[in-house]
Amino acid sequence: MNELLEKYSLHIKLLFIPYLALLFLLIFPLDFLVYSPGGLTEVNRLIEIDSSYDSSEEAGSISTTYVMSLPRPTIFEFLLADFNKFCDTYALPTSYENYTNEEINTISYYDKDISVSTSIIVAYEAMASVDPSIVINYTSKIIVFGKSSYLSHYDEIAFGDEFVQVVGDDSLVITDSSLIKENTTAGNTYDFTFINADGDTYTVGLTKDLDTGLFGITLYPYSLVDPETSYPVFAINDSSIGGSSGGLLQTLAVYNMLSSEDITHGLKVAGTGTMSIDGTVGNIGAVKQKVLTAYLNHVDVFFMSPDDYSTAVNVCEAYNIDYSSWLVSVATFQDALDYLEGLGE
Amino acid sequence: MPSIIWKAWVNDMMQRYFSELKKLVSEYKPGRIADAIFAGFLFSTIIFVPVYLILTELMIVYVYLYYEITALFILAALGHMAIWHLLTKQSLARKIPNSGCDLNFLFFSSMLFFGLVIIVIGLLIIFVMLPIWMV
Repeated sequence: MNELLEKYSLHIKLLFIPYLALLFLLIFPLDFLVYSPGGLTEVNRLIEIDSSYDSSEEAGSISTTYVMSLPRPTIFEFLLADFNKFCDTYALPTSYENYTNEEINTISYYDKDISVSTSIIVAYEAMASVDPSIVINYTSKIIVFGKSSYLSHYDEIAFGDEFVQVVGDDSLVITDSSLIKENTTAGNTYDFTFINADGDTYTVGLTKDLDTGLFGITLYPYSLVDPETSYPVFAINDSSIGGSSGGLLQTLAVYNMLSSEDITHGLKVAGTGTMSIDGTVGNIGAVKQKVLTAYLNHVDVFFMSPDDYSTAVNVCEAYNIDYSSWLVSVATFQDALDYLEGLGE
Repeated sequence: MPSIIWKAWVNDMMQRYFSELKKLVSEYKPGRIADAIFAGFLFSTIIFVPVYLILTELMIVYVYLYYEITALFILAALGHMAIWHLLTKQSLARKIPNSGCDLNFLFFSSMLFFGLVIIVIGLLIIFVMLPIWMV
């Protein structure tokens, strides 16, 4: 060790400060949010249907589109994104300010779980009308999906905890989260009951904030599918990609796995858009990066909600991309199915 | 015929390598060798930490170029390994300046071997693991 220290002592002295400066550029985070293009993920690698179920052979592919969402980039990442014409940089949204990057990732993965469950339910129910042997069982619950800085008992309530009830004004027991706001008064404290990840029930008193008129907690409905009692049995594989924007494509892919006819017709089908339990396609964020990802990956069909379509068209025009043959606006899951069926005629 | 020559050459090189290695251990003793290896690792890692961070951040922002950036990671790993060998050799050479051991041959052979290992692992990552990981 000493031999090298002696030999390179001058280099060490000269480069020590620049080295620390370089590390600072590579480690110090900025309160920004960066979006950059990502890639495509074939849904059949995320969701698998029991191979004994008789379904069609998929000639093409159905993929969700992911983009890189980078909260609090380092100075170097920020500079890289700023020089990349495909990337966008924004000030960190205020909703993110109270969360660590780990918490943001946790929210994103819950979003993904909810989206996958919803997709499976919508696809199974759609296919059950054609094949009565298909069964889908699920339970609905409400989970903690967001927390604000003014939330009382911030550290005791964890993301993903199940909301059970709140005792509102006039001792009214409320289990439907949509009724909380109208049955509580700002400035008062109410007993909220939750179930944590270990299955333990706990009750905390949460105060309705006087300034915002809110409790500072976001509750979100979650339909949890039961793979064991559903038919055909399915498996959801682990994924490193979060978010709910894969909903529509996941639904199409699961439907195709159950269908006796291949709806891809040999095409590379991709898209983006959330899926509601009633089959409606919702809009998403980072439309620019998603469209550019689709373009860079040479997709044949790219579905998106009507709300996002006009933004996507603007992006294509700004980058001189011919979108006429592949960019498709769909309002519902059925619209996407109809479009794909139309391609086969 | 070429395979016989190749085998004989490899055999000769292996014998020479192990005889030099024995000479190294008897001349330097394990303590000094371990110190040189550790010093080489520490210095080379200090040099390459920013390189790995830069590549990781490039990968995050330019994720659609992940194959290309993975190839750069493999090149960086090769560079790291080469610098580690070089610094270990320099450390040993300064411990016993007139050593009878052929350090150049020993470290060049070792570098060649580990270089090949890194290239094989890198190709496995690019062509087998990356398509599996990118779910």
